[in-house]
Amino acid sequence: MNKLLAFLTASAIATTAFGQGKLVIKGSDTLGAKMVPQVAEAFRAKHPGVVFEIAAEGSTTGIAAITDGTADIGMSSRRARATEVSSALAKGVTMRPVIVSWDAMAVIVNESSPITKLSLRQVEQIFAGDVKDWAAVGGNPGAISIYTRNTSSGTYQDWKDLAMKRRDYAPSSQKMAGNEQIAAEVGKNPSGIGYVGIAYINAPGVKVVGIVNAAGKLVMPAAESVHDRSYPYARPNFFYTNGEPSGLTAEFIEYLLSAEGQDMVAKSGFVPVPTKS
Amino acid sequence: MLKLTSKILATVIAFCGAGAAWAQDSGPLIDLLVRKGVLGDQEAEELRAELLKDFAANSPAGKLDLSARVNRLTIALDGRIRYQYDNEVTNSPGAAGPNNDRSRYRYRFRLATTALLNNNWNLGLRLETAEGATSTNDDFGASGSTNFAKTGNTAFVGQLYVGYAANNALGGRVDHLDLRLGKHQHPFFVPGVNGFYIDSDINVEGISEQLTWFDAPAKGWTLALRGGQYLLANNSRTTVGTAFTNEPSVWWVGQAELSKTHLFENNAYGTRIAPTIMTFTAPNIVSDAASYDNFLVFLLPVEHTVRFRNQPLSIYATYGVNFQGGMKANRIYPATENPSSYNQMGNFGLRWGGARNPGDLQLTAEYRYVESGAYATFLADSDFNAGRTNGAGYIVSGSYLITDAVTGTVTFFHAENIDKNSPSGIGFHRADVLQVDLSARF
Repeated sequence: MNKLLAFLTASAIATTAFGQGKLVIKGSDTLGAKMVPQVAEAFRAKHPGVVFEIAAEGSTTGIAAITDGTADIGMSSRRARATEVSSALAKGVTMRPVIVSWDAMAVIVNESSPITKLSLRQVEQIFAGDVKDWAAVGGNPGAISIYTRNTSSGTYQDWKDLAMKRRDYAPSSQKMAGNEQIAAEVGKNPSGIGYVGIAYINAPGVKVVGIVNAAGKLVMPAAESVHDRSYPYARPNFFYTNGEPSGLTAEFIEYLLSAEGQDMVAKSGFVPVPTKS
Repeated sequence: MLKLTSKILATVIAFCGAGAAWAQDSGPLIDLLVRKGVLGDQEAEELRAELLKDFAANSPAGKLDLSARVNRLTIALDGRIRYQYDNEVTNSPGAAGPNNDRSRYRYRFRLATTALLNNNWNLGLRLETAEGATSTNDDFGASGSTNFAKTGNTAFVGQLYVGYAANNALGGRVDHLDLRLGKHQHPFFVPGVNGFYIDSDINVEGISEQLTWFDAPAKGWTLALRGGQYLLANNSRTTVGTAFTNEPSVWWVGQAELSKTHLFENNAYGTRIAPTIMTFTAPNIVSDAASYDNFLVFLLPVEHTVRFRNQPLSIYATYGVNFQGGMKANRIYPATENPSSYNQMGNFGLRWGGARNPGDLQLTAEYRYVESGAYATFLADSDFNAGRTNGAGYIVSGSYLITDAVTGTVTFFHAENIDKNSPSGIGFHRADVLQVDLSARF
């Protein structure tokens, strides 16, 4: 990390001494909805001559924008796929990831549910449809209503990887457009269960379920449990650039990774990148 | 600890050097290094990106762009080169044709792709040579006006279907459910060379259902119920008077198979019995009446397989009767004759050898008997008696697996008419076919 910061600093000083220019950022709606615009605004306060163009239309668009050369930074809540990397290579573009924050995917249920904790196996069984009634996992008898992200979302696949051993979702699962929609539906449905990013766990009508991790420890989604790796459903968020970032791009990434930038990351509901001790 | 982490790092570096084959497998190892504190998160991501770049640049798999909706994609190709000799003599020897005495040099391919989608759905597409329903063969040397021309060497859509296959389906009431909608391979048990009563080249068009229960009705047994509703003609442009008929002609099939089998060295041993009923329904129009009327057939295919000289030996047979076969025979014969008893069919065969491993030999001998009114000519195996009724004879076949992908096969079909005085077109005086095949597949 220190090596990366040193490189970013050197590049930034060398190329943007006057702090002017335009930065195009495209990609993940998870990152682009709130966190990145807030950091960009703070950055602009220090560099009034800088203009930002931010388009949050999904991780896939961010990675494609780096390949096409239409953005300086591609935001992504998932890693680039092999085919995306090969497409980029074909155009002479080398995808370089920088972890800018972490997200903890929280399992939420309706606040009236007696469920307070679930094991890894129970989470897998519920979302895969093996367990269909709450009574089987200690809840009130009744059919489980499952809410997931829609199939075009990177989070849809991430959850299968993190929580379901890559199995299919239950056919009865209902696909929602975003975190807000999942939280809203679970908040209205006493039999509902879903997953949302940690920034959305305070939505009305829902509560977070603790997870009994592989070590048998009950953990909640939080910065500490992400940093010590005890929370099983954590994932990094990325900025992708074409090769080593330079100039204004490097300067902005450096700012985001600084203590000030990471403080804003935390305030926007994400987990900051842990500092190496 | 230092020693362990050094070893792990050395392994990762070796992975990087090993290239594409290892790149996709290194994720868990990188995760382990991060957990042990050997790598930081950013260092791990850079390593992952480097490995992924290597995989994308050097591995064919890294260049494939498959939708996330696909869980598994299978691509299969089989190709066959065939020499075929036909000698068919009409019911009145010496009369004008068809007296075929010809050699053909043939080929076929079938290129299939099958995608397993999410939530138990699947999608299949198969391209095939030849447009005929009961053949996938195209002929060398028959392609237009210039030598080696490609005229007529066309690929056709042999299969296109959407399927659903799930275990513990319908709320756990069915152990396995398999549904197919579209143009596809039928699911029925049809023992015999080339499928006997349903030519193995036929791709049915409609809906197939198969419901399976294991350990039913008793432990070790399996019960499978199968159904098929297949369009024969949609009649959408068939007019009666001034209006379109717009009522399809349909082939209905039902089969209940009871089996007790077990696998040994990839060969199935045991007993299968599958009573089957089938019929056609068609609007009352002249063109369909000729093809589809008088068809209510019951079939009883059975097969029993034992181990003989370290290979499976199958004894199989089918008995069939068309309950309306007499009416059918009377309809297709001249009014002066009364062939109303011509309504039965069957086969009996022996098949030895597994044909699973290189060097395996499979030998088959089968006797067939199909009376004039017993069956529909467009469904039966087209290589025996050209698919016609009013034929009895035998088939002998031998296959040798040269490699696990390449097979050599020789098959001989011989048929003679059962009713020697039948009209022309209902059977042959004699029909012989010799096929010599070299097939390869993956």
